[in-house]
Amino acid sequence: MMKIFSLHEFDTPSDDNLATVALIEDVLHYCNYENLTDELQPFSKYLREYPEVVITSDILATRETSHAFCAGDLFLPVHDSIFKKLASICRERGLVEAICVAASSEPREVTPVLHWIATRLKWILDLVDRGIYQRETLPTFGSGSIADIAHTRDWETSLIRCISWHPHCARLAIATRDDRIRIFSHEIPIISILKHSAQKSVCCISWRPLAGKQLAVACHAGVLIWTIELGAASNFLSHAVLLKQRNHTPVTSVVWHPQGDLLVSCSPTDTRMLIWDTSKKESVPLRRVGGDGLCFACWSPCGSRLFSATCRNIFRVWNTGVATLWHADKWTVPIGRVAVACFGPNLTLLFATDEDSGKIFFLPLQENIFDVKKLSLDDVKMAVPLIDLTKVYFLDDDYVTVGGRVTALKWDPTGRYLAILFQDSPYIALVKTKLGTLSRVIDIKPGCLIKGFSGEVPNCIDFYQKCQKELGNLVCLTIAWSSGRIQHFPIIEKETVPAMNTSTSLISHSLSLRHDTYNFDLTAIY
Amino acid sequence: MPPYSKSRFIKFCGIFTSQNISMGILHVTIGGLLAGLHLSIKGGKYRFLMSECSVIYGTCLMEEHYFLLLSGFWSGLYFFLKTSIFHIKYLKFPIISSSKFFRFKAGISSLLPSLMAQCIWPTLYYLIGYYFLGPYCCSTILFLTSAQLESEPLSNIPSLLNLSLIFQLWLYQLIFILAIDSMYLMFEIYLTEWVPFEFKQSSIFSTDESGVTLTEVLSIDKVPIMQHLGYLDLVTIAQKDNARRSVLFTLSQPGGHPYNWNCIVEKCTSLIKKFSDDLNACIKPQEPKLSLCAPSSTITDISVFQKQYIYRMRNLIKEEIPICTEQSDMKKDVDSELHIQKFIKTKWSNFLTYLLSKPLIAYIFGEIEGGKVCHILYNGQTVIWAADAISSLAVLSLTEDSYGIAQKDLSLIINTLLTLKQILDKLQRTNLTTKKQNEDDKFIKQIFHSLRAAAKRSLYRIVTNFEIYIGDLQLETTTIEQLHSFLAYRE
Repeated sequence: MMKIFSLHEFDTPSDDNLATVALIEDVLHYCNYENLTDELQPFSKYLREYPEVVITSDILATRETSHAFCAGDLFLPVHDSIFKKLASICRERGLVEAICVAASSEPREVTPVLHWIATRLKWILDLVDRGIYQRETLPTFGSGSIADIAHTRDWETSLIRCISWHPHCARLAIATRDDRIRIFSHEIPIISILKHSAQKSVCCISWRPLAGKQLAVACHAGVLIWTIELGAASNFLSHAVLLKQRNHTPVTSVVWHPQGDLLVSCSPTDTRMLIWDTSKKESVPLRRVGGDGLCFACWSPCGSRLFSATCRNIFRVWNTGVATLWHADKWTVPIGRVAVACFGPNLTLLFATDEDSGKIFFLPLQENIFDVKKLSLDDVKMAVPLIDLTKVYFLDDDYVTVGGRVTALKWDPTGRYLAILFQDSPYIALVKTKLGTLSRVIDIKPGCLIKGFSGEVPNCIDFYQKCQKELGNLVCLTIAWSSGRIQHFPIIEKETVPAMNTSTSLISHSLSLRHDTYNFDLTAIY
Repeated sequence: MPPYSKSRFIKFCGIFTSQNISMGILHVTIGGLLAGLHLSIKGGKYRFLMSECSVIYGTCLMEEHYFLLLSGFWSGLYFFLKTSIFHIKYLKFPIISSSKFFRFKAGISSLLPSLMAQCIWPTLYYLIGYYFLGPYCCSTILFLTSAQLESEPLSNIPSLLNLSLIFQLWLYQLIFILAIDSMYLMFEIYLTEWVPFEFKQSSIFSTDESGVTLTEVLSIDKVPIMQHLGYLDLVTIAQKDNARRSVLFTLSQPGGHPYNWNCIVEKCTSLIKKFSDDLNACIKPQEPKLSLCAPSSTITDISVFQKQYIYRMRNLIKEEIPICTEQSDMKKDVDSELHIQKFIKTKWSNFLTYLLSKPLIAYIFGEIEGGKVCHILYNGQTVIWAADAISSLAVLSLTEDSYGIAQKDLSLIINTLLTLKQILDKLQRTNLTTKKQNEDDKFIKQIFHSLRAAAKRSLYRIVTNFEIYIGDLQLETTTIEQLHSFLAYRE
């Protein structure tokens, strides 16, 4: 049995005015604010591939500026009678939709009798839809609210709400507090800005795998699927499709199948999990009894397991790698609900509950017929505690806590580094992990604590999805700080020899040049 | 899957097949039977068509019974015309496999509200029709059965506005259409279920033919549902079924040929190729100049020409595209007989084009715009699966193909998928699938979008996994150039 890793094993990061910038060969590098962009710094050569991102609170749209471009100003409003409106809705979107509209409008407008009938019909429809479980609204703050569910620290107030790396290339999507999404690419100097009238309170964004420029956004009204025109002169060329379903708002999590064909959306007010075929705009609901609405879901990198966490102490692991029915294994945690979870390679699942000082568990999901260790363990399949998250205090200038409730948990795609973002700690804990062949974590060591400049707290994190073998197995963690600074934190296991390095950089440079010319040719032709 | 009909006239003629006629008769009979049975079981006032008169001597006609019975026949006729004639039936495959009961429940719950609304129309039509034609039918019946009418005839507005009668009328329409539609639903659920097929294992030990093999199923063009199921199974093998995939990647005989693999690659690529060729043939007449010189062939020349400029703007001036020398050699026939024949032919075709230029004739006999494209797109689902399956198999061959049998076909697969993608892009630009917001059109649009997504997805799948080996695949330079937008993730 492995011993449980404790946060005590970390070294205290030194000096207050410097931020950590890189972990190169287990040596933590620091830098002050002025030298961050200095090309001579040891870390900067690893960051050339990544887009430089600057977000400050004054570039966000205020209410006035966002109103200025509203489509409503371009067209005159039309005042139809409510019956005309209902008839057109009935014709275009069906009877059910018309009933819902009639039920939600003023009784005076649609005559009380019709309103009464419509509300009763809607009640029956809702009953058919979601059974006895009824939960009309979410709490606005505290446990169970969107801010509590989102994998972002201080979701309500933070400048940056979500960040997401494209699974195949250096392209970063950033959702800000003004409900806009900005797309930063390394090779394209123009930043695309995505805005949509339905794009409110963005909780989760996710790039479509095996596609270049499609992005799914979980927002209050439903799921938006953006098709982005990169590098276009106008942002209006990008277009979005809104996928919504009755009783499935607000959506707090969207996750793509790794093959890019299916999309799962979850809502805490809905016990169903919707599986979307986005090009057909159709969905299949999946429901199991037990637990409340669903908080979030995540898919294993191989696409054969789907994790879904409910708002209560139940979570499920769906076996999606079969041609027949998907079927779910139900698990329960003793207290609270599962707050964060992530999959590593070889079907290893890590999860932690929303307790204040809980543990991170791992759950090996691979079926092993030749598992000799099975005999020594008590249970065939069980979750094993891995990291103890009890708060520890480091003496800096004053006491700094690390630990407590986890807000986000990310594992790099190769399964070597685990980043933990806490609810109330200014540091991010980076843990080195080693995976065995039987989807078990066999070794765990402290990596480092990542800190920002004084006064900064991390809001959300994401790993760059592509492993770069040629740059000494570079892994890059991107952190959005509360000041709006986006930091790329490179982690290098073994630095490449300088002589080799120059030549590779030359080659890569010439390659990028070649890319440029090709892109140029194509744009010229189309 | 109906055969392609070029004009509305041919479509109209296509209605009168023996199958359709017998179906129509069956529908009408079932409609009448349903209403009649229900009336007789329910009992009450309208139980019998004829009854003893209460006031005068003799048999009297219960006109309400007769009214409702006739409405049963009417619903049969109406829904037969609506569902079988003016509507193309297609089977929708589920997004993920789910249980039959669940699918039935979901299907019925989505059908019911729309059917309830749909049934209002035949009810109204029937009421109007009865108001005008009712008296004639009624008098015929009375004459035939020598019965009498006791009360006032129904065919006036106050007695037709009897709410319970209208409700019953509506209910019969609903029951009928619900029965028919749930039958179709059951068919759909049972037919679109995933079926595993076998591989041909031509080893010496197993000589018995137990079932249909996958390669056989893939080549059944005549029965589309079998072909669909075959491709569904293929994509399942490619993405989910590890054990059967290993059979695919082995040689059929030790030291022999990879028969299964060859067969599947050949089937998939030929299906995609045929599909893109068909589509291309439809688009071509629309823009003869552009499609004559595919941009791919001239990329290199232009790029050399344009490299000096720094502006990354679309060139508005017409390019000096090297003139394609594809002009077919005109064979000049000297024979006078042939000359006359040709003369008559041209005259005839001129006459036809003149006729077709008249609006009404063109409407009836002319080719339906976009009809051909729609017809081809109906078969799109198999192409989606074929593209997904073949690209997944190609990618998995990196790790699972120990004999290296997939290698030789990679360039063929990439080229086929690229052609498909380009044709679909072209179709998107010509915008053939527009107008009309009916159910069929929605289906076509869905298929088209899914096809585009699938084509891109498949290419990305290959490109992301073979990124470092792209140079070793022995692709043509034009192909590599076309792949570059994928390598840069710009598609």
